[in-house]
Amino acid sequence: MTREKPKRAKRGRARTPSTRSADYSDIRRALARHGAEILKQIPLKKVQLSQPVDGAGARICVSVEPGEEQKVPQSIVIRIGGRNVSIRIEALGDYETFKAQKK
Amino acid sequence: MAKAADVCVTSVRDWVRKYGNAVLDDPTNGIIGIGVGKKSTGALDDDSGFCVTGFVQRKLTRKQLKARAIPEFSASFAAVSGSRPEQQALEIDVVDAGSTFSATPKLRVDKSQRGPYGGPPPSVDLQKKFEAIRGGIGITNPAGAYPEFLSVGTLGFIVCDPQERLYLVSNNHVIANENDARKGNVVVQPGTLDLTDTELDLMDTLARLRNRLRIAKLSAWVDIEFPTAAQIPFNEVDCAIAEIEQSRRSVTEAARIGLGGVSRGLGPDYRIDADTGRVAGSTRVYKAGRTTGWTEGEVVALNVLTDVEYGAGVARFRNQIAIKPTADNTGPFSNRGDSGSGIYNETHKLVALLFAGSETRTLANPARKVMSALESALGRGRLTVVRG
Repeated sequence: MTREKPKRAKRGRARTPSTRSADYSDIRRALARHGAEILKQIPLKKVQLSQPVDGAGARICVSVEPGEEQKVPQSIVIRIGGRNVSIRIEALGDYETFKAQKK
Repeated sequence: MAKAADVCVTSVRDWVRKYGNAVLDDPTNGIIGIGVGKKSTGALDDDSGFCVTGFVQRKLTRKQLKARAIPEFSASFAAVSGSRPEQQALEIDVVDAGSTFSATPKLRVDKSQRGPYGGPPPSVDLQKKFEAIRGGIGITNPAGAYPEFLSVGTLGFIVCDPQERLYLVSNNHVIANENDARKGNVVVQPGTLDLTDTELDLMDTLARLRNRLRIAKLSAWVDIEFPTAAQIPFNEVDCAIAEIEQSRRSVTEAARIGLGGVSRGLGPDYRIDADTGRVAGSTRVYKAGRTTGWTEGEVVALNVLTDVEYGAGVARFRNQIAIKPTADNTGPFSNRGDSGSGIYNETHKLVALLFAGSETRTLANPARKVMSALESALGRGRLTVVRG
């Protein structure tokens, strides 16, 4: 008897042959310079992007409101240095509103 | 010739020295401390006579003492010294201490919490008026608000220009009122929210407040850009700079961080190692702020992109540093009123400027971005963080 492994739906853009995977430097560059482009690919209003410092792989953490994680693509593609770069996305339901801290 | 009061205090002191131990050694009398006091329980230099003072956890009536078989202090006195107080021409008093005496908390400080260049963590008393200005204390720009509205933020750190003029650095939203200030506006210390009722009465107009509490004049700031119909601009810093009026307060403590250690100057940017994905070096940070005082945190994310709520609207920021309190911290890393705090790394080098917070995280501008943005805005050459 053979068991078929269930296929995971890809919600992000498909990688093309000319697309490479992002490294840690790409993540920094993407967040520093391509914020608007990244936000366009995430169909939610309340979103925070960040680069984790845990060494658990090059990725962007996307904080959204609890329950909205499924709406976040698993990866996005942006153009860095003339090449398409695929960035892994980790969706977290830990969105919190930031407020200026003057009393 | 000795005065009567001198004779009395000597007799009382001698009695305490001779018999004090014996009183404390008796577990039945409920006395937890013994000393020289005043029958009036007032200051030692008042006009009343001295007495032998016995401290108890809770003062009981004669009836309660009898019911619990606890001897009165006069009986204990007689038991250890042979005769009652009046027979020795001495007076006694019993004082309610409320509890047993214990070593003051924080007398012992965990070594890991001690800054390498400073003393133990300070108490949270950064809201008062300081005669010697320093980082971590409460300030505000009261223009356009006082006396109807009161406010406070934090003085982050102090810098100097090539002409050795000193400036304080804080957030735009603390001392430039979210772009709504004018150059030359006065910065006051403490913040108006921290004034007592008496002080508010004494300084009931903006002119009086400025006259008494001014410490600096607003020199420059970086505008916070809010969204327009056409676009959502990205901000990278929320900062402003004000020239310190050195005739108003002392600047001898300018390098100090609150009541604790001292700044060791500008630190490096955080960089993620391209191979490991971890921050090169330590992620442990500290800050002193007007509301939560000295706190300890951990950098948990870099290059953060997020919206931040201000009084004037929501602004979008990128390239920010996210910080969470460490497990050793008893509360949040920051809270309202801490805006403008300088954030330091383990070697007390400035790494960030605190400006916003959520339930669990604090957001800060990278310090080097703040410095270069302020150098451009001020136009007086290179700025140097004052260091001890």
